[in-house]
Amino acid sequence: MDERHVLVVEDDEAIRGLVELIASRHGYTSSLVTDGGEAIAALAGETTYDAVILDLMMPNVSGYDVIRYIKENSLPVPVIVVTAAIKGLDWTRIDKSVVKAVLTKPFEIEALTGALTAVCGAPHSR
Amino acid sequence: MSHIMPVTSEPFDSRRRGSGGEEFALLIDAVQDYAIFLLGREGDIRSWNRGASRIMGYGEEDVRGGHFSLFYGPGDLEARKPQRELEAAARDGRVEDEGWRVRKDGTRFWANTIITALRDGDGSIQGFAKVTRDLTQRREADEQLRQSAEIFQLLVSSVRDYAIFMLDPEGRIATWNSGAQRIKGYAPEEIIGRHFSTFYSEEDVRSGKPERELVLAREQGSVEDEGWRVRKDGSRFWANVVITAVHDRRGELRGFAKVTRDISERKRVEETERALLDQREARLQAEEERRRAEASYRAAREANRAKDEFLMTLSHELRTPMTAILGWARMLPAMSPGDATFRDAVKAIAAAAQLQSRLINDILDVSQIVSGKLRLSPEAVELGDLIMNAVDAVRSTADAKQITFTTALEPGLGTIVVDAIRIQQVLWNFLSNAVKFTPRNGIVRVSARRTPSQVEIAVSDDGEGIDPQFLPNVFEPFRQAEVPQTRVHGGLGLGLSIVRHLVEAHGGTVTAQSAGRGKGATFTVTLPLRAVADAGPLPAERLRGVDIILVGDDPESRRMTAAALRAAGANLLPLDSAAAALDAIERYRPHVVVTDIAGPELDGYALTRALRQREYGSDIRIVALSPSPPAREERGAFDACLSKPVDPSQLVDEIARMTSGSTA
Repeated sequence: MDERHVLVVEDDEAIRGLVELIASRHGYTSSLVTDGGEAIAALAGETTYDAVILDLMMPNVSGYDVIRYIKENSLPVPVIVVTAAIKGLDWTRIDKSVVKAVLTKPFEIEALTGALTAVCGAPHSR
Repeated sequence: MSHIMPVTSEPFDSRRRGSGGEEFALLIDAVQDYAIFLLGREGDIRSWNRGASRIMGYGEEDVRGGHFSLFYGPGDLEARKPQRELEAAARDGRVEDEGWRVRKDGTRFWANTIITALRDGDGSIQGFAKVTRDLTQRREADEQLRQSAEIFQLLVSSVRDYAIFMLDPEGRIATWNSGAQRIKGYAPEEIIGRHFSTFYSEEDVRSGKPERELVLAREQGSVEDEGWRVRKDGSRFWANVVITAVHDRRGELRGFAKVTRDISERKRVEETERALLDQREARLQAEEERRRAEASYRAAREANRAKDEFLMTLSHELRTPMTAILGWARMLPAMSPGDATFRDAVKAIAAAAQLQSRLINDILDVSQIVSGKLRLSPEAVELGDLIMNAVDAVRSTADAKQITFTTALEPGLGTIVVDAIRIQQVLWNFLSNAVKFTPRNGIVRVSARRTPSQVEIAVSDDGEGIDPQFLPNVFEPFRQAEVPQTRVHGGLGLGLSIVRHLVEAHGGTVTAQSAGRGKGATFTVTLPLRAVADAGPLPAERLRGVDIILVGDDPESRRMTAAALRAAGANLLPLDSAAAALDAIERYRPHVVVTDIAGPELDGYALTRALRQREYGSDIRIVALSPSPPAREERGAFDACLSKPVDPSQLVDEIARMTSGSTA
C-alpha cells in the first residue's frame, strides 16, 4: 500500500483531529504531534513523510525551529504552514525552499487539500 | 677763615669772671647739645664750647678769632645773611633763625640759631651770644611727616578708582579726590560744602537713609552699604560705600571718611553670571523635560507595542477555536450522527465555542474596566458556598487531569457582601490557572479564613511556579511568562489583570507568591467583610414595596434597625411586644417579620410558633435577631437568623433575597 503519509504538528487538539480527519478523507495517513520538539524527533526517525502540516506558535519548540531543522538537515519534505498568527509572521524564518504553502486559520478545507495535492501530487482515490 | 683772633681777656670771656663766672663758664663749656659761643661786635668768634665742637666739628683752636660766617653756606654768604643777622640782633636785641649751616667737614646740618645782642651799661653793643642747636634729626622727622602727609594727600587725591573724601560731623563734604570727581562727576569747587545726601536717590533721601548711615557710622565706627547712588548728571550707579567715623586724639568726632566704589560693572557681571546660571538652569530643566517626554514616549511606545502584541495574541487566540468550529462544522454533513467522529466533532465544536465565549467575555471585561464602566451588584452570600461553586466549576477539567482538590475552609466563614458573580469569576480564574499549571495527578489546595475585618482565600498548586523576575508582573495586562512563538498555555494574558481589577473594586487585595520555577504558586485574595458597602453606596430602596413588622423590646436597637429598613424603602411597623405583633400580623399580613428572639420581655420563639400555626403562617418570612446563634433545633423555624448587633446591609440583603419575586 502506497498511501501518502503526512506529519501533523499542532498543539490544539480539536484542530489536530480536524486536520487528521480531512487528510484521511483525502487518502493521507497522519502522524500527530503536539509541538516542535516532537516533530523534530519524528522527522529524525525512520519514517519518511510526504508532507508536514505545521503550526507555528506552539509550546516549547516553535514551528520556526522545525523549518530550520528541515533546512539545516536538507530533508526533502515539503512543509505546509497552518497558522493563526498571520499578522505576526516572521517571513525571514519561513524558508521558501522548505515551506511550500502558508494557510491562515481558520482555513478552508479545500485550501488544505489543495495544498496537499500541490506538494504531494494527486491523492490516491479511496 | 680769614683770620682767627686770639682769645683775649675780654670782660665777656666767661671763664674770666670771678668764681661764679668760673662755674658758669664750666657749665657752658660742658653743654653738649647746644653750641654756645660769643661773638665780637663784628661777628668774630670769641669763645667756643664742647657743644659747638660737637655740632660744628671745629676745635676751639680752629675758630678762635675767626668769623662766624664760617658756618654759612655760599648762598647765605652771598645774601649777606650773617651780617644781616647781626644787624637785626643789634636792632631788635635778638634774632632767631632756622636754616642750613655748614660743618667743618663741609656737611650741612639744620640749625636753630638764636643770636642775642650783649650791651654794656650804657647800652652800646659789646658783642653777641649765639646759641645753635642741631635740628637736623627733628627736621628730618618733620620733613618725613610733612612728606608722608603730602604723599598721602597726593595718594588720596590721585586715586581714580575710589571716591575718597571727608565729611564734616554734619555730613557736609570737606575734601574731594579725583576718584570722587570721576565717579560722581562733580569738580571739587562744585561739591565741597554741600551735604553728602546729594549722592542719594530721592527715595533714599526721603527715607532718611543718609542720616541713618551717619548715625550707624558714629555708633558702630563704620557702616557699609551697597545701593544705587546718583551722579551729577542724574544717572545712577551701583555703589559700594564705606563710611568711617573719624575721631581726633581726644575722641572728638571730626567727621567721616567716605570711600565709594562704583561697582556697577561688577554688579553687571554678577547679573550676567546670574542670568547665565538661570539660563543654564532653564536649559537643564528643558533637558529634564525632554528626558521626561522621551521616557513617556518610550512608555507610550512600549504600551503600544504591548497592545500590538496583545492584538496579535487576540487574533491568534480567536482564530484557533474558530478554526475548530468552522472546520468541524464543515465536516459534519458528511458524517452520520451515529459515528464516533460525529460525537468528537460536536464535542470539539462545543469546547471551542466555549473557549471563544470566554475570550470574548474577558475582552468585554477589560473594555468595561478600561472605560470605568465596571458595575458591581452586591449581595450577601455565604462565602463557603461561593468557594465551593467555583471549585465545582473547574472540577471536570481537574478530573480529566486527575487533579485532586483539598479544601480547608474555616468553620463559620459566614456571609460577605460582594458581587457574587465577579468574586466567583476571580476564584474560578485562580482555580483554572492552578489546574492548568498543575501536572497530572497533582493537588490544588483551597483555603479560606475569616478575621474580624476581612476574609482571606488562597489557592495553591505545586505546578510550574512563577519566575521571580516575572512575579511582579503577573497582574499586569497582556503579560504572559512566555515569548509568543512558544505558547505553552493559550489565553490572552488578561485573566489575572481582570482579577486584580475586580478584587480592588471590592476594596480587596490580590497577591501572588511562588518560590520559583517548578515550585508551585499561591494566589491569595483578601476581601473586606462589607466589601461593596465600602466600595460604594448600596443601591437605595432595595426593599421598596416590602411590608415588614419589626418586633423588639430594646427601643434603641429597634430604632436603629428600623432606620436601616426604612432607608431601604421598606414599609415598616415597629412594635415592642409579641402580643402586639400577633395582632398586627393578623390585620396587615406583612411579607416579613423581623423579631428579637431573646429579649428580656419578648419571646421570639413563642411568637414564631404562634405565627406558624396560623393558616397563612408559612407565607410570612421570619428573620430572627439574636446575640447568640439559636440552637440547631430552633433554627428551622426561622427563614434567617442574624446575629446582633445587626449589620444593617446584611439584614437588607437577607430580606431582599428572601422577598425577591414575592413582592414584584
